[in-house]
Amino acid sequence: MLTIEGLTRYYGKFLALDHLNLTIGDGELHGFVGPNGAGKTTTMRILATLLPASSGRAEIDGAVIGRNNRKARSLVGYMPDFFGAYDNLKSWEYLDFYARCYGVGKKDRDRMTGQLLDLVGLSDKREAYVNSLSRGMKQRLCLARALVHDPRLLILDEPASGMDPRARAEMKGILRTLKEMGKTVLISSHILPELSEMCDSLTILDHGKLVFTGTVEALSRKMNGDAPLDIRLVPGCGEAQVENAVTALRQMPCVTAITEEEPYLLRVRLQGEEDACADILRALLSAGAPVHDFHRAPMNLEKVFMEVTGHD
Amino acid sequence: MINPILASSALRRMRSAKTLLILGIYVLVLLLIVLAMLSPFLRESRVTIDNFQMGLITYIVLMLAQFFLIVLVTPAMTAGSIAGERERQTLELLLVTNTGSYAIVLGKWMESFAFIALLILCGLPVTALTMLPGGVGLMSVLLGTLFLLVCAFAASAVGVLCSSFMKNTVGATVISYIVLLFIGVSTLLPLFFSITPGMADRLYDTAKYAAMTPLDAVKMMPKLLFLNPGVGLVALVEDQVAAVQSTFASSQGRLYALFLMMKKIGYGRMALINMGGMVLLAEAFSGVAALLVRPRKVRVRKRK
Repeated sequence: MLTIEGLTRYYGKFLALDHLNLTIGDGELHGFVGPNGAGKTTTMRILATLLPASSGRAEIDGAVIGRNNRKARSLVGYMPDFFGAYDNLKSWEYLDFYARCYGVGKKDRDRMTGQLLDLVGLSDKREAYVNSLSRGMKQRLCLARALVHDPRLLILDEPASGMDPRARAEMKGILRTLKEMGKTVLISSHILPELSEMCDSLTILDHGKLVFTGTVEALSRKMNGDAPLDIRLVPGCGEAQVENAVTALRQMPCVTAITEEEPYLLRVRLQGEEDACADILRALLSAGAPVHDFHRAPMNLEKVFMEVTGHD
Repeated sequence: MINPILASSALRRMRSAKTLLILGIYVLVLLLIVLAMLSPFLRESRVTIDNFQMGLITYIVLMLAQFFLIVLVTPAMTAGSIAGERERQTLELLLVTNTGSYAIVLGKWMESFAFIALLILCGLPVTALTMLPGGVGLMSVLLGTLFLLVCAFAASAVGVLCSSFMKNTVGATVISYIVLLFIGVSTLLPLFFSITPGMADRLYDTAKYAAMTPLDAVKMMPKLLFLNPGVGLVALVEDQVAAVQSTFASSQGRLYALFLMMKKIGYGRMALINMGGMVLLAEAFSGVAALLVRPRKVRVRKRK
């Protein structure tokens, strides 16, 4: 559905996007994550034909951005990270207006307007003026606007920003429905856990560079491979026992660092996978260390994000 | 199919109370001018030669008043057309649709122009009151209205052009006034620099002037003057009233030379050429505006 090759964008001398390569399959819900200024919005604006790329190529279902913009626009539904509204238009008029701009016929417009208001849960607000809607409702109306021409690819730039938990949950529900409808969705956020719950795959950007792209599981696997080992000894076992355990650990070639996080809790950084963990446990038990708990500390996605983007 | 941007913008404008207020004030100002100037006639209601003069003068004053009101009102009404979309953050939402940049500019421009045209047409019955004392015919009133519509068409194009590259409405309004003033002054400058002694000699020599054809006069006329709305307005008034040329006859200066050239071309024809010039200028402005609305290409800068 979407192929990006070497996409680059400069703002003056500032490099906002640096040779981005990315492929998103048909019907995929793809998360685009990165801190502020990572290049997410720049990428999305290029894909929405709003911003020309400095170099590189982006193709949406055969339509090359910059060359077949008209075709690309009919394939893409874009929802920016702001809500552009005409206050003195009613909800249905707002959708009808954009449908006309996309060249949708009268019959289809009438049908589509009702269906979309239904989809985003605003059927009862059909005759309400846009300025009378709450922020969450406006966001949902904006999402409906991006769907008026029945696009195959949806580009949503932080659609849930500024929403309360209930509105966020509603937005997630709508996105799941869109996925069931077979839409390909590219959604950005700077909150990785939020996206990991609903996305099939993720791309992490930092300072305009691609840091990671793949499935959520692949990301967790990659990061948990580097996770430290937490060894908890029986509380009150005595300093000598702790010293024994530390000495046994120091003798292991796979151990790279040992820290005592709290009394009777040793955090061990190691090189290796499951085999190395088994060797360490064997060595500890041989040394008579009273091991109470032994596990690799799982990294939550917040930590993964910090780790991957190199921030503390 | 009607341009969706024109239809939607017109709907939103007509829903605003400000629109009715502006219409009311405009018509009221015109009505006050007419009533003040025609009050002697309205009191006496006798048909005399003086009444004809009164009607003519009222018509001229009303044309001038409408001309200046339009020049004043148009930038304020049109400069927010695209800049306002930018301020509301709705321009990008339009640019991602299949409506091209020119259709967006055209929709905004035509909507702004339609409102100014509505003002002028609402003023038409008031202008028609100048026909009551006699001296001003229906054709004069209709031609005057047409001229005002063309001026509004061109002035709204200037407003839309400035709106296409300015980030906010206030800035676009200020720039629109400056650009209108610049156009008004710069298209009048040839009158002071392009009329040579040779030209004046041909115009003031009765025999040479008589031998001159209207086409010669068109060729002789500094071309920028065809774009000046003030020149067009004078030609139009002179065509209908024939009262201004004689004022400059004794001076034999540049203005008299201009009048002689216009007379040779024909005042009515001159007004029509002027209107054509303004329409072409407006079209050019809207084309440039469409180019400015579209996202611009960037040059690739290589990293050192």
